[in-house]
Amino acid sequence: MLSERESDELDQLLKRLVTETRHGQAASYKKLLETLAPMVRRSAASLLVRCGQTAMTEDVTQEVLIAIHLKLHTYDAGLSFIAWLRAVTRHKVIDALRRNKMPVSSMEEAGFAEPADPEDFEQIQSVRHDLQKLLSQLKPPAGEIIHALKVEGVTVQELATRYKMTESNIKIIVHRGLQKLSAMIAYSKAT
Amino acid sequence: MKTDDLITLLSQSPQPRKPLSFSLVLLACLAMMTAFTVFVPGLRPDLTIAHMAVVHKTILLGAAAGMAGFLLKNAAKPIPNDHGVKLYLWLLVALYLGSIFFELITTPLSRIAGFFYTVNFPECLFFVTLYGALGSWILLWLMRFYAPHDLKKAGMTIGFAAATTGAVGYSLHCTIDSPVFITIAYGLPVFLVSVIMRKLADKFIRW
Repeated sequence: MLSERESDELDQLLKRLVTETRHGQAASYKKLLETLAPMVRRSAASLLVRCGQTAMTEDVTQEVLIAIHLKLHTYDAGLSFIAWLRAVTRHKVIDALRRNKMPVSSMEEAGFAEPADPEDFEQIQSVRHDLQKLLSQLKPPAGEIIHALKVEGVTVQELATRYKMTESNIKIIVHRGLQKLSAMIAYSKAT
Repeated sequence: MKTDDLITLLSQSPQPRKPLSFSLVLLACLAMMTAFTVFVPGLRPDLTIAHMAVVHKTILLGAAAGMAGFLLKNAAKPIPNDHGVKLYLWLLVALYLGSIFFELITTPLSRIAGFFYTVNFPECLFFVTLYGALGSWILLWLMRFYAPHDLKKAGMTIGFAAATTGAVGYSLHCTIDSPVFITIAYGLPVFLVSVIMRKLADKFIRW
């Protein structure tokens, strides 16, 4: 996971490479694609694993790279390149899932399905376990709310109705909960 | 093919040419539709006399077409830049409501209602729908070179832009300049084309 500063630096680097690419520098373009490929692969895998379709990761990665080649002109230099890349990746993942007749009315609704690769399955189980452990340390119902919002994709409105709270309260609970979680992670790393 | 090979192949391929801009294509559509209006239904006979009414009508329809063009540009990107959209939308609504209000207090209702019993009403419905449908196919083809974030929204915007541009083109034939008439007789086909394109878009736009 990149820190905010690292993420900004990466975005600046990518923007510079895009600008150079637009000026016709082939070497910068190659470097851009080489930098993006692992990012796209990770991002696609994290989306596909929710539908148990990790086997499609490489195909989707290649489709995203082709889309980058064809649609780079739609990137607005004033905006974050990483955000643009995520949007393209998300579109291509949904496209690939639809093509394979996967019911993807919404990626959020897809939830976590069984992954195709057993190694991924073990990794996900481990991540799920760690996440549950961390969330259970928060004051109830903060853990449940964060899990529902960030993992299950439930909306703030639905949570407000479920817990009979205002939407602002839900947002405050999530904000404070996430702060506590990051403090807990930082503490566990330090010790 | 391996991803590394694809990267090598892509980096050696020339960058694809930037597609035509929506503004340019909308202007070309407007020129075609205006030319069609001149040669088929013909220009309104009082065009040289009714200066102010024509200008007012063109401003009303042109503002909607401008808004549509703005929305179309936004719809064609993976990340929309909605800055200024709401303000533009409110200004457009205020322009229409202001014009309608002014007409309602200065013109008898029976006269306004009479406009809908003229041949202009079905003609407006027909021609704006026709122009909108033709323009939509051109814009749909162009949208395939872009990367819309929401295909249905992109489709609806295509229909809206094509039909409003068609409305501007056709307005040179129609002799009725009433804002109420413009809103309804031009608005209905614009709405119809937008809804149809919203339904059809994701079947035709692939990127």
